[in-house]
Amino acid sequence: MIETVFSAALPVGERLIVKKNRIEGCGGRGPRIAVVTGIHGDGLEGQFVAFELAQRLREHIGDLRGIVDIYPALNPLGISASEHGVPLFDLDLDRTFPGNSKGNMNEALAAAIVADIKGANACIDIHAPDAHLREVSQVRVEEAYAKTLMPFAQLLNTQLVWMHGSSNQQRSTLAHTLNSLRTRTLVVEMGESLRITEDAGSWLTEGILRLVERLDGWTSSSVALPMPRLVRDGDVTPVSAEVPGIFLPQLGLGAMVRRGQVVGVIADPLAAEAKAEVLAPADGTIISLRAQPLVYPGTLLVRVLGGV
Amino acid sequence: MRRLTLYRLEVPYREPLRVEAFEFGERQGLPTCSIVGSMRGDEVQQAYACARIVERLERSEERGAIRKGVRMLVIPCANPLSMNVASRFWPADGTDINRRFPGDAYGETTERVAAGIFGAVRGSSYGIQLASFNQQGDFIPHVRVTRAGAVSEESLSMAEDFRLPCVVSREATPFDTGTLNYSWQEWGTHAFSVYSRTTDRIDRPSATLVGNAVMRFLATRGMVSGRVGGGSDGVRLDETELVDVRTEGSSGYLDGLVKPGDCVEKGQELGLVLDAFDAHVRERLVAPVAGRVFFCRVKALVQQRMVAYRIIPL
Repeated sequence: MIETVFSAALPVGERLIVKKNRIEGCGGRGPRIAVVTGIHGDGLEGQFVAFELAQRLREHIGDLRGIVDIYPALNPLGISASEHGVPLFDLDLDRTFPGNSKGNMNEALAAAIVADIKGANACIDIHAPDAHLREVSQVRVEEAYAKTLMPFAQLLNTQLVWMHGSSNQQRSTLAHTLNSLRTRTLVVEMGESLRITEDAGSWLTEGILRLVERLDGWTSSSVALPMPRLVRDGDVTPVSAEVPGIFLPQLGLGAMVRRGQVVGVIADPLAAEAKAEVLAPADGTIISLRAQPLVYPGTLLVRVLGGV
Repeated sequence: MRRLTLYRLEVPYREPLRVEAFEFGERQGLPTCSIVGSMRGDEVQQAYACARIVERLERSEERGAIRKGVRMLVIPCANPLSMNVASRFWPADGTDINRRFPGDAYGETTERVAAGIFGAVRGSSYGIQLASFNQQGDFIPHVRVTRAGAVSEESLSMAEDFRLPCVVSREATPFDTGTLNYSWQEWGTHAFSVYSRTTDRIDRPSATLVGNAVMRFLATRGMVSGRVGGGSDGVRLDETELVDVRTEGSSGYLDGLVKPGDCVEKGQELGLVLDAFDAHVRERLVAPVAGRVFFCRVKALVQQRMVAYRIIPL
């Protein structure tokens, strides 16, 4: 059943409406799971998962106990405009939580989202990476909540589970807000902005079903991948551009590298010269790779996960 | 007056970003006072007001009015790259330099820019930023002190030396931790955010008012000699005391009836929300309290549940 989570009138003959697809199982009482995505308008990876998951659940509705709420577009204006934030406001919706029901439209929207999800047995918040990167699938777990989240994170069929330190800015995200309200929320990052990576999405769909199963909400089949690798901040070495230009990678995402190996070059098409070689900083695997060729000094190009 | 390049960043297919500053008084030591104009690409009023301050300090220096031992740095526009393409944030990745302080010389692009700026203004005794809000509207000119450090309370009493119509205090939020104001305070600087009336268009009267306020502050704190008259005993209040007036049940065109600084009575109409198709009045926005108008939304279109006015209650 399609339900409205939040609605507000836009200036000219239209309403901003955030909807969810509530799928209630026929298998009896069970957990409530929330699957949210589209908080950034350019993160479309979750669209595939929302579609696939709803299809699977409908086909086997008798095997579902409890409720799965799927929120495919928390930021509908951003998605419709392919913008990261909320158009008109220069605002990152994922920096406005917990919101304020008496505040401006976007703050009220954030508060309505939290009120709707709060109390779920688990929430999965699906993102594509920021900063024009391409990334292997991963669950991001804030260290402060690792104890409660890790058992769930390992079920989601991602390649990595990255346990990271806390920062002040994270305090205004949906995931932090829900975790602080004791609604276990897992952030999944994968693929690339404005793209869909179907295989990672399919595996994540299976992983979400595994999680529902773990919570006694799913009695049909689900497919498990090998356990993801647990990663901490110190295991990953980033490489940034030091000169401006056009980044031409010579290796792909997931490639194994040796320290000092050339990962790509930064080219100057005007002068027709390679201005810099980008070298692997350690032995390991490329887990993030710049997808947008234009780079400035400081642009993140590659992350190498050591020791693989 | 000396013109310095504080930071330079090579960028693709454009001239390098240069963060330029004007130095007044002494050439050595930490700045006594640093003044930053625009940091975002739409802060035209802030850059303009700051350029006018440069002009006034230049004249002050020519007549020997800058006190011995004082060193001042003024950065009218810290981000010409964004201003030249009318992008509020960094065009390539949408990041906000004023959320990247204290910066990192080896970090992401805007962290590097922030580090380049902060390296020059760190440790100033006083820091003044001509700031803007993300709320789209006009403000009564005022000075803000964000409580973020050991020096905040002392800064709050000093803020009255600007003699602006309003001195607003507020508690720091997690969002503030990346701002220049916050980093200044962590380094013991008395930090002030001075708000002019507008952001993306020049309003000469309020730019002059802000320029006068900054010159008054510099004179009162003993950095320049001479008298700068005018100003007023500002209302001192905490941000939480402001009373918001929202569009509750409607959206459309906002037909504003008041402007910042106006005195209003309880029940007075502040603006009308008109239907976008037939111009019928859909909502009358009235003052819930008597007071002065602090903020007016100026965008022609307004959504439901938007703060259209903020009132300083009597």
